[in-house]
Amino acid sequence: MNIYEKMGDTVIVYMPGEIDDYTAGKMTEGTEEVFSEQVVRHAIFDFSRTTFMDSSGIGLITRRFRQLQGRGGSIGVINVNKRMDKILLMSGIYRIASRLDSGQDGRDVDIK
Amino acid sequence: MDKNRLSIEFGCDARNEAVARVVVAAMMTRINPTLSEVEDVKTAVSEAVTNSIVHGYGSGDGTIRVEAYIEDRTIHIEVSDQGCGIADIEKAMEPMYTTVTDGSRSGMGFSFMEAFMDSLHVESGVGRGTTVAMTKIIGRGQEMY
Repeated sequence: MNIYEKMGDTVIVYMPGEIDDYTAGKMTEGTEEVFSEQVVRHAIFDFSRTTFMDSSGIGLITRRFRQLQGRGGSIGVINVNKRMDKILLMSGIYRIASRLDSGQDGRDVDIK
Repeated sequence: MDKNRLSIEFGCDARNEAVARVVVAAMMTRINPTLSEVEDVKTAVSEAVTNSIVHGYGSGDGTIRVEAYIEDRTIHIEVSDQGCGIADIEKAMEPMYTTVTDGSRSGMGFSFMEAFMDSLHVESGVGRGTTVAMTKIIGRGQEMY
């Protein structure tokens, strides 16, 4: 499975099953080139495969946020399970990223 | 060695973060934790081991030790290294604070340990390495997720 997919000005990043310092590092490396393209302004982080995440995942997302913010872009998260939602909420990531699906907890769909 | 004690040592390879958290998770199954409690502990162990690798040893060489034991319903975990140590523990524990400035680190490691465990104690000194001691009470029935 590809780790990302580019559609116009948007990159969908398929997050790994377990996100820690090791896998987040691989992920950052593997997407460095596509995110260096100036045409890329938006990123969607897809958590459908993810069952574990520590704060390395937060580092990965905020790094891309800073990069895309400079181009007037935005970031979003999708397919977030309850555990991931807890971690994303706790880390304050929803202040910079929109949640693009409603999730099992019934949170409203939020598409900018 | 105490029958009820787990002690593992491993080298400074980031892939060992997964090994460490899975070993501790396997040990705690004997006190019937909820899935959420297991995930909390796994996250905290992952954070502590990552700190040792990335900050303690600057991703170089070194040994990390993880010890754990269970007392009643409480799991006690200690993660220690003989790395560079922390000059200002209070500063290091502030959310979003990090000494690595390449933008790859969230600075949330200690915040995550504090949030997911019931107690967190950090002992460190420059040149003396760091020991992170954490506990979590299992089975309080407050299942949030």
